[in-house]
Amino acid sequence: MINQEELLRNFVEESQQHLQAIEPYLLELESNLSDVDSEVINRIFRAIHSIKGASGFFGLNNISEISHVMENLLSMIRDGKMKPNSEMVDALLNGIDSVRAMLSDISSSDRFDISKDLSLLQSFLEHNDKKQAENIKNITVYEMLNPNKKEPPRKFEISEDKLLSFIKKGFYLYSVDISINENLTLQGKTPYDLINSMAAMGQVIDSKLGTSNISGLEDCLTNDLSFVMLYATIMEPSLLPIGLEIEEDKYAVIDLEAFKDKQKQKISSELKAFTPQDAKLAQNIAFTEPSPPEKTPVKEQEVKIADDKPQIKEIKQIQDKPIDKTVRTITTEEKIRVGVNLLNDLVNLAGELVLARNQLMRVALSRVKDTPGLNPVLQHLSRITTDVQSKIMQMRMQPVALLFGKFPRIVRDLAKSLNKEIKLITYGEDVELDKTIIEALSDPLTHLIRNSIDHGIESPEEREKKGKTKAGTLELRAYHQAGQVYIEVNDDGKGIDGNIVAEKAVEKGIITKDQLNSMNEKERIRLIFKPGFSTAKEVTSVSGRGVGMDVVITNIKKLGGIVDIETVPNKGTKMRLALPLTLAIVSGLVVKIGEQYFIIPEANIEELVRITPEEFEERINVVQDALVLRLREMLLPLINLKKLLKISDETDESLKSKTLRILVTRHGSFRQGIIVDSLENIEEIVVKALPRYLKRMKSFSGASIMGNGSIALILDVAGLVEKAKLRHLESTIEETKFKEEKIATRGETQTLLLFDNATDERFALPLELITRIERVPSSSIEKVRDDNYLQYQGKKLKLIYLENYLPINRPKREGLEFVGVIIPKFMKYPIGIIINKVIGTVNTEVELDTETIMAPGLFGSAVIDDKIALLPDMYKLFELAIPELYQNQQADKRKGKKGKYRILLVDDTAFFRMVESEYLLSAGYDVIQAEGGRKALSILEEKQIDAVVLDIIMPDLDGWEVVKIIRENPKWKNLPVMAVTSLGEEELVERGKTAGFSDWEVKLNKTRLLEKLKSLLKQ
Amino acid sequence: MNRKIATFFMDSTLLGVDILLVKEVNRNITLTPIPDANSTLRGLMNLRGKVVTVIDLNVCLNRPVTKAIEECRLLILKTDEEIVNYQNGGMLIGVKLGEDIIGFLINQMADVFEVQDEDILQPPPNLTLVDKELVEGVIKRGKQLVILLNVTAILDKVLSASTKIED
Repeated sequence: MINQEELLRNFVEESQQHLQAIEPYLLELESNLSDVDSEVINRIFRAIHSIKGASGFFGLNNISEISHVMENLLSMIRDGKMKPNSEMVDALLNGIDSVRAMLSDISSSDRFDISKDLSLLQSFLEHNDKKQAENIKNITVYEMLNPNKKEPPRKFEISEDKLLSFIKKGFYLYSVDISINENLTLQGKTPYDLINSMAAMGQVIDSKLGTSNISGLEDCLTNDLSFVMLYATIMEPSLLPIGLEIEEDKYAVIDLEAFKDKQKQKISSELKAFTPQDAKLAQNIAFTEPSPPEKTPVKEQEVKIADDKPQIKEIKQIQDKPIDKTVRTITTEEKIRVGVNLLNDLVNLAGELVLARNQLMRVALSRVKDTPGLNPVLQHLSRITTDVQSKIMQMRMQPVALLFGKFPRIVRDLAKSLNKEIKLITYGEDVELDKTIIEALSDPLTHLIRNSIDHGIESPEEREKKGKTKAGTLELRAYHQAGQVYIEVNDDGKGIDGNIVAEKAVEKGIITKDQLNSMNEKERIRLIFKPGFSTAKEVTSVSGRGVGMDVVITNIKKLGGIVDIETVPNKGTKMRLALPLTLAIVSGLVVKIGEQYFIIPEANIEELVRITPEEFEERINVVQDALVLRLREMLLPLINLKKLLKISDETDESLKSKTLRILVTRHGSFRQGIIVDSLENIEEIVVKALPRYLKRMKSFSGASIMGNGSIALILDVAGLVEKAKLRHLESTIEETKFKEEKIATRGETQTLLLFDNATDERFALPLELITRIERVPSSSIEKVRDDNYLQYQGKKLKLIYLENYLPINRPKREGLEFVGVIIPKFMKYPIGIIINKVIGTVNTEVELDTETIMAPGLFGSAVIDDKIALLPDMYKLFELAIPELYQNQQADKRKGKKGKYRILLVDDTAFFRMVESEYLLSAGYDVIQAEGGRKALSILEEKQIDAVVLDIIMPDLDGWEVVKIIRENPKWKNLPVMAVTSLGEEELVERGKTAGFSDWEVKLNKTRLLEKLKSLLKQ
Repeated sequence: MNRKIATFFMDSTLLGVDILLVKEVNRNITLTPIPDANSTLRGLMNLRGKVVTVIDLNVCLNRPVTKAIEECRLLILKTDEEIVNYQNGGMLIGVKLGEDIIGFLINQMADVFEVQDEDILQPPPNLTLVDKELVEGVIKRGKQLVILLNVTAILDKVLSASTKIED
């Protein structure tokens, strides 16, 4: 049963939701003052109306009063009696703010000073009232005698206009008594439920507290309140108790007899249009009605029947449909309210369940071989556990719309107070994040937005001088990428000047002059995140009070996220937050340092490097007393965890004598290597908050309970970097690399993973196709008949050996204690490739030789690092391994016509052209290749093409331009054009559709490419 | 008012805490040390899925670091949430345990006895065994003297020692 306090809580929650929901509508109203959309007004009106109604229930006089005035104002606007203006919207927004403030401290809401808001709102009404004073006249109406009711008839006030319009519509007027306890609480309903159902079937005109001894909230919580409402509805006296689910002694019909004549006079002209046919129909209907249980004067009924047209229609509607449907509001999805605490308990329990599962697995796996039937049970349990966990986590997920929703208002207010013009655009509002993260993001995001508006976007005059549009654009964007959620705040303002930032920082004593000189642009810009930094020339009320960006970064870090800035002077600034989907469960790598286990979140890890004592001199250098790792063309600073955490007094010297395991981690745009003693395994871990006694330790971000029941600390990469006071040497290199990626024009390079198969042959696979490389003990591979499997992340992973499908040397694997397993990306049905070990990765322009060495399952060979490497066609291998899974990828036959579909494949890189055409050919398409945009267009002119697969980044004419030209030609308006690119997916989603692409896919995902193409051709 | 005091030994010193603060006493202590932490913090332990912060009571009381943890017991305290009902009933007023579960390393449990409020005496000025700030009072039991600890003050001390900002 719901108690009174809970009802009140409910009311507060729902009212807050209402307020949040209508704010955008108010802003919309403001942006379109001259042409008022009635639906917009109606939505605002309905929300305010509900709040007014429900607040009356609790004796919340202030809220009720202010919402009443707002409602009046809105109804004037709605009925076209008043033209809205921006002052009015301001007043309404202020009113909403006051209501919100009162809601947040509901018990003292009646002490809140609303006089200012009230008088402002009323000034509009009075202004209007004068004009209409003569039109509005209040009339007193009385209850008719109801034999079921004990109390004497009551009277109500109603405006004549309203009354007549109700009579005209054939409405009945009732007084309805509702006692909170009896009618709501006992039935498990909230006041909102009642008001909503009443509003769905009629109109609540007035409501007042039924008992005189109740003066406010206190009484409301202790006594059973009764409530009297004046309610207009089409429902007949007999239907009303069913419709509202109330008892018969709880309402009385209002005597309208005296006014009907008046109404009749008014509509006498309309009566001429009233045809006998209708009257007959009406009569029939009236007779089939069940007779009302209480005595209604006969006369009344006659009047009702002989009234005008609209009413007849309404009666008919009620008669046509089963009563149940007309009186109940239909809800689409059943929902149930669950407390966050309960949810959190569930999340914890799910965590424990995962833990218990892991423990069981550890114990039971050794017995699988000699216990028949054990393995399937374990698998089943494992899968269920994973599902339960993910469902429970889902319950905590909320769309970022909740977060973004409040920004239109903030942006509007800020822009107004700073005299700037700003257009706010949001993308990806349906991206979901854990509730905790959503809540914790609110402040940092607000701050970033304020900063953008205050410091980033220029004043309209300044913008015009620069040749920009007068209104600045602020973009909020949320998207998924690589298991993380990204939120961007982008503006097209003046950007951040690293030099000014740096000078300022020196001035404020945040850094020294020497430090400044050794900093690159990126580092300089990041100085804005230092405590005590504020770039505003003057302190404004909006931002720039010196607290700010450092708070942002601390808050984001606390969530396990990172903040990144990209800025171009006079073009704008992009602030990007990378956030974990959820805080509670992360995938982490367990590492051992000394005798102790630690966990590093997998999201931080980019790659693993192993350095043998022989390689030490070559790969590890000392720069300014610090160790750095030479990785490809980068120099990464190294953190020796054992030393940093003071686990032992290991000297750098002693590192030389053993094989080093280095985790290359990423923090923001910086990379660094972390030296650990050994790598254990990757586990889904349940993150537990650190006790407050450890909160200040930078090195750790949380704790987790391991499969064996012991606790492991979770390392905080950002904190470690800070603690180690690392200087980054690679960021310049990285920046140029970033640019290369973006502007790459001629000859795209590929990053390839080089590995061997325990023979002399070398193999290479595009790194883009690989999720992960695991090193597993040979003994953990299970043989089931002819197939090999590995237990991997709670699932069964099928493994294949290259030598079983390719004409290559057969390795001798006996005696190998460990093998490597390549786990490919983009796989519906996971398969792993067994290798011996990884040689390294190379970034090079691949010249693929498809003739010298060729076989099914091979793309060909290439000379990499002066040696021949074979490039296996991974997907082909999988098809060879499990042909039945790949059958439905085959192309459909061309509709109507004979032959195969013909695809035009456009890519400037020979390697990708090769790979993709191989995909298409193997699926049964005809393929014509073009190495550039112009060539593609001329082929399109000459040949019959069914679909185009188009690369985006190409020299001369790029993919965007090509698709534009294609779409401009009416001949090719409906030609399917699919983008296949190595650009990040979010960039495509955003631009792809508007540019004219029918669909898009990331490079080299064969399965999805073929699926999407197939469905495009079907359309 | 009557109170029940749980007593325990730290070496030969007899200490006590209000029994209402005690959640349980554990024997098998599997500690995960916290690298580079303040010396009052000896490690973390898993108690049925919850993280327990293990505190070296000796260090808190300015005594030598506890050795031979394997021979110690762990006196596990309740949290604020678990004592709120007592506090609503007028007991344990002013006691703050925080939200985290805390365990004190102790040598050996002794008995539990009842005591009247008026029998809890001010610590004598010559009490040098432990830091006076951390003592609520002393209780005479025959020949023995039980030092009643002020748990709130001890936790405060640990917190301020452990949250000194790292440089």
